[in-house]
Amino acid sequence: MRTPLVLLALTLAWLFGHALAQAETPTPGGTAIVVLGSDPEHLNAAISTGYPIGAVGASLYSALVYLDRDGVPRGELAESWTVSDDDRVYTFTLRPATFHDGTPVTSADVVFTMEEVLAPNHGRFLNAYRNIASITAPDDATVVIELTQPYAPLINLLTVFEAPILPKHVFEGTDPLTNPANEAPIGSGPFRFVEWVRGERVTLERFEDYFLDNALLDRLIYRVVPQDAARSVALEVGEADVVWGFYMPPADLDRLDANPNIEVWKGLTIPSLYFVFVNTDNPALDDVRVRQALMFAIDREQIVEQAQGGLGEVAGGPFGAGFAYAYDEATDYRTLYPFDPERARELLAEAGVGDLTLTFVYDSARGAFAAAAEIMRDNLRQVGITLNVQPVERSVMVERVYGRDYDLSMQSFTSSGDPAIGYHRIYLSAERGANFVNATGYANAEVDELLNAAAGLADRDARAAAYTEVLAILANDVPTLAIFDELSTQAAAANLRGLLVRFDQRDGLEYAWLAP
Amino acid sequence: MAASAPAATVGAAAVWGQLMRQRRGLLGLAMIVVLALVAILAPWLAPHDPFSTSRNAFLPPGSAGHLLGTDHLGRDVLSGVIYGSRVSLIVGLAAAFTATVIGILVGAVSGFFGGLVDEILMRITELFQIIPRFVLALIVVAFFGSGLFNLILVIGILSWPQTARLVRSQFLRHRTLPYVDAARVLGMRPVRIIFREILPNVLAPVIVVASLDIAQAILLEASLGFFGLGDPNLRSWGGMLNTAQGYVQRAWWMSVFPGVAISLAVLGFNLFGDGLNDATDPRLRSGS
Repeated sequence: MRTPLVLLALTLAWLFGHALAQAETPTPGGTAIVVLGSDPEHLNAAISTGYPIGAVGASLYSALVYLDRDGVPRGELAESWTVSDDDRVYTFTLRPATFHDGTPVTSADVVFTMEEVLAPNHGRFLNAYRNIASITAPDDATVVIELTQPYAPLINLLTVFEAPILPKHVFEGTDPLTNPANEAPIGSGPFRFVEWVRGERVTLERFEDYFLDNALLDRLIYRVVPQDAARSVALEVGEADVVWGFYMPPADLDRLDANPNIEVWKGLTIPSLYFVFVNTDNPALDDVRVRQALMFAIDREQIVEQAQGGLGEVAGGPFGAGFAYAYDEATDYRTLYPFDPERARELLAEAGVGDLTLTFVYDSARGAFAAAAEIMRDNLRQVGITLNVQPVERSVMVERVYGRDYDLSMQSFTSSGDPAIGYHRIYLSAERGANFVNATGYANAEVDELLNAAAGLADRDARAAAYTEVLAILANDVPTLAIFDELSTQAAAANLRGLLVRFDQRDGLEYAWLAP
Repeated sequence: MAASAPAATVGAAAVWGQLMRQRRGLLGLAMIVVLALVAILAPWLAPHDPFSTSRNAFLPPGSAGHLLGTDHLGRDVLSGVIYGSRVSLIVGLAAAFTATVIGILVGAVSGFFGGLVDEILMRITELFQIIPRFVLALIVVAFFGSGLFNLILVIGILSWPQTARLVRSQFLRHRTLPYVDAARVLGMRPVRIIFREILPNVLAPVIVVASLDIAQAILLEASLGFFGLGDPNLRSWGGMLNTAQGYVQRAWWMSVFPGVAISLAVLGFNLFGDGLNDATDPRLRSGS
């Protein structure tokens, strides 16, 4: 009789405990340590696109918008915004907010930061600024951005990584590159600056008057650990709580994953696409059937598994599968072009191509490319194509690929959060000739028109419709062989909760909290 | 010393007899023969195609069908080692041959004519000797590409000075010997005296150096491959070591077996060279 009672008690206790775990409520307090691989040069995120500066800046500063976990822009300093019918005028209404020194954040700060600091000094904001006709502040809580032409990625270029807002009263009349506030920054973000020990750590503390929900952690320390291996060890011995993929030695991931005190995460954040350029100057490769055959012949799953160590997702299209509005299930490469050597052979026979030898050029410093090349060599051999693999140093690769002296070349391009910023250049015929753009020689007037239209559509649904048409054309033409989307990684102490709430893993640490 | 019997000349049969009596040289020869057989019979010996990838990555040695395991792309390590012997042997032999030809030409001309020609050629030789071979090979291969032909040429061109100096010293000695004088008196042209009269008499030590050169060339090719500068379209031992770097803890077999193969090949040619040296050196000869 006793055993069932004990069992019942245990079951109840388990259920109760489980319910407790489910209902874990975030508790404030404590200190979390985030690892940086190098010391930031300064702490002014508005004059640099450097990764560690952006990391600390994401907690120190705020911007008009942030990108949520799915990459959808949401208001941060901007309570709301409206877009004119011609997609050329954006009107932002600001929330009441204060800088860390107590002065209010007004539209004047926004206009000043964008025009005087960001436009001349921030590489990526410049992308947006080229399309901006004027930035004005009709009143303290309103900012109006007028564009020269519709430019959909604008909102994505107003986040804390692209357009952090600085206090005008601190920077006005000074050189933003040498302002002392670059060393002791004043922002309006969830954490305020405490101390910076050069080469060792940057310490921040919770800003009690943050305009949104206050941060949960008392303190946030960015610790500089320059050696790869030392970062994983710092995590293992509890001297650090978070290591981002950017600083993660990939070889250590499995070891960290096996550690019960460490949570390893692998997923898609800012999509970065690995693909193969196909040079259409080669008459054989100008035949669409041959390009399609290449898609069927290459085992992309094997490449992800072995060349990328599983840290990727087989690409679903020319823009990957990371952007819901630039992806169409109907033209998913994984269903259109499954690994099918037999079909590849048929297409090659139809095209009258036999015994093809192709040069495969890639940057020799990229280990994943070398492994992918070996897999493709084996794959293509099965369909009668000989791959002449040519690893060359980066400068030679750039010269040869953009000088169109190659047949196939593996590349990786980052989307920068919007296909119009990162990926359009690969397919636009006008982009041929320069570096890091269209190297395939592909020119399709319809694609040009649709892509340019898509870049101008602020409405996601309208944009999606334009992309659906482009995707169908590109899925047939395959001027590039999309291989995989790179997965980001992160390793963090298992008791640090509330991470990865934003599109960029560096963002949103105000939601992080320590479980007891 | 008889007038027309050069001291260093040793009959091939005598050298062979000496070599046979020497365990080291014989062992080296046996290793070379095995290496050559493996290289020639690679397509029949290798259980798999060396480039064939599979989903079975990181299989440990002793797995079914993969005696020495598989690498990170599921390629058979044993087949890679077997086919790698071809690259090593071809590069070793061809580079050493290139070095020997250049060395003989430079050394013979230098030693036979002497004077200003000798002076200039020897300074050039010294220049090649003081250049760090490996560093220069790295630069040249990085610059001109790492095809098999380039590797052979680079290694050959960087390896001739020792042969040149040896041949020169032999020629310096021989050119005053009576049989050379006789040839001159008979009106033979210098080219003929060099190649027909003297060269056959000084070839034995050259062959010793050549076999040591082969060992060095194999090692240099493997080192270049290890640094990612091997021929990317061939499976070579150095190239296998290069890819194995990232997996030393996870898959030791990826680095150990090609490493052992390199060591054995180098050891084989070195033992053979040493044995040959002893066999051709009259001072070390016993019982004659």
